Amino acid sequence: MTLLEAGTPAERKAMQLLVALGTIYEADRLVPVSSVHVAGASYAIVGEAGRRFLMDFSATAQVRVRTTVNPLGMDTEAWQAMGISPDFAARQADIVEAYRRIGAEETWSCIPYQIGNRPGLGDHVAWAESSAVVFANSMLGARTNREGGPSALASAVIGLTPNYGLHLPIHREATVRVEVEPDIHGYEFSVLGHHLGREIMRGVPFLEGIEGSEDAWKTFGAALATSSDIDMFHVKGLTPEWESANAEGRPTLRVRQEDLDRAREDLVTSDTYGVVAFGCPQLSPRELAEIAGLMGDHPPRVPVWVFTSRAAADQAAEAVRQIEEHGGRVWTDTCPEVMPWPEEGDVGTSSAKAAVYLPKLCRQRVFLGPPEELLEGGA
Amino acid sequence: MRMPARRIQPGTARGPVLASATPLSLLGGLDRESGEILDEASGLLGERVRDRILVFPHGKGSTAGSYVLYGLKAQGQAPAALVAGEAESVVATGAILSEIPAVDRVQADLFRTGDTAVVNATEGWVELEDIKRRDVVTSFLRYRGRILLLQRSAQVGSFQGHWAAVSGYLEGEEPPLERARVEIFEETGREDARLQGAGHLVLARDREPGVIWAVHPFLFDISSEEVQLDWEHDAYRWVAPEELVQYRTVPKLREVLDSALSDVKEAP
Repeated sequence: MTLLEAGTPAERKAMQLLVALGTIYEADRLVPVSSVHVAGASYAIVGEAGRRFLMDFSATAQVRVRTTVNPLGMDTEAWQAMGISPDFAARQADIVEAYRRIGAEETWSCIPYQIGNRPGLGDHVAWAESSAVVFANSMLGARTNREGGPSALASAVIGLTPNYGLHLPIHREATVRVEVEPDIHGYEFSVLGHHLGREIMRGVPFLEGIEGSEDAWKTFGAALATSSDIDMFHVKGLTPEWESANAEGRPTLRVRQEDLDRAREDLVTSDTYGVVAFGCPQLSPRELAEIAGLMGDHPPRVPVWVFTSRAAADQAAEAVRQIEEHGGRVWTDTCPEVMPWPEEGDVGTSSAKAAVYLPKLCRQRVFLGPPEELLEGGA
Repeated sequence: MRMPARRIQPGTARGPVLASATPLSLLGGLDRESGEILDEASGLLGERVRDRILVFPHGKGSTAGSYVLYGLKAQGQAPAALVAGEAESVVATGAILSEIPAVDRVQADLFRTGDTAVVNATEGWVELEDIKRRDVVTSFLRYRGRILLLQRSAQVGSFQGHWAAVSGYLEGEEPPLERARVEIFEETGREDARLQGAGHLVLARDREPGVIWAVHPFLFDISSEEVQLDWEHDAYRWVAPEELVQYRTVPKLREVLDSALSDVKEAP
């Protein structure tokens, strides 16, 4: 007997899904995963059909491995202050209950790797959320394809994932070298990621001549994965697999300052903005402290919304207090792109990923710039 | 006509075909409530998928699209079955979650909106009702790397004036290779053709209603360039394979040539 015939209805469906995907992508087998990260938790994104599916599925499902979940469409405590309707909140609460029932951790976060779900080198995992996928592969050396919400959920219930794509070492080798001429700082990592994604589209870039913090590479990867199908990159001297990347002899792409200027210009759809949104991806405790410091030096002229996870906010309680003292508002459990914006508007952001999605998903025009500039400017 | 398919989600269905010429996005391409097609490029704007056999080359877009199928199913607005050229993860996931019979590895351009199809995903096949398969042989003659093209005369029943290779209907149970040699002799007068390649079957649908052509591709070398045409053709040319695109040919001739060439072992 296998899980295709035995088990609960949800387990049978989950196993059937993994086998079908494995067949389509010609996987040789299913491999055990050490963790799962599920996307598709915001009611604004999955809609009534997703809510119904999650409620049905969770009735007979339990996770077998550690499972974290992506942001919801609202702050679970301060949703009324966000302007969320009671109807939306009630439907969102059904989805929360569904994930709780299957035993997932209520992280409501796109940065599982900065709040405890941090797999190690060579670990097979099944993650959804493209920014988390690219971080896990590149910065941690864990192995995951870009799963969809349902396939990651299936892996959570079964504990396995089809062995293809980035689970295989051959697909983790560099396909193109990237030489970055200008010095890159702060939010420019995000712009660089957007530019490289548009240029390269697929494969595994190998970067050299550039240094940055974990948070800088996090914003780089998020933008890279948004403008392309790329789920992994190497950085010479930094990322755990750069020495086995086999980058010798690959074609080289050179990045000049004018490339970055053009990439930024293409993302700007507004000169003004009525609100500043930080936190795409959600901010780490360290980034929260940075924003708190910047807000002290540059008192904001428009409302400032800061998005993070509840776990990160708890770790950086002092920074959260300072941000709110300077007039900012810290929201947890959600992010600027999966919450329902009540009306059209314009937003200032330092994230190229947000600059791509806010106009598409949320009817918001975008001004893109460094945080200190955003705080000093505005409508 | 029945064709094999790969099972994605088991089940059976019969119904009218809704055939999209372009890849289908489930999130954004379909109305979540009514199942109405919103994607203009599909050529199906305003059609509803309910109880239809939905045929498309492949899916695209966000995995949240999988939930759209689930929602349509729950509201009784879902297609009866899905038939794809290649099912990627969004389509496969949607079909499995919502238990809509689904297959792939089917040639989507053989289907027309308005056909009636039976899908047996459990056994892995699709049948187009009232569509007959007609087998033909198509033989390319090659001399010093060039391919013989023949211009169809005014006396033939179809595609007059188009360029073609040596071709003919298969009759009864005869082996395709035998028919190929008969046609070569009749249409070019050559008896010395040496078989170099026999490609995989190419299926095609053209203006002829109710027929799918099953083309058996062959490649032969001959030892000189003289040919004697019969009544079926008015003219001939020896051309390089890459020049084929410059000629108004019968449908899918390039694909049939590629199939024949793919079987050739030695360098030309």
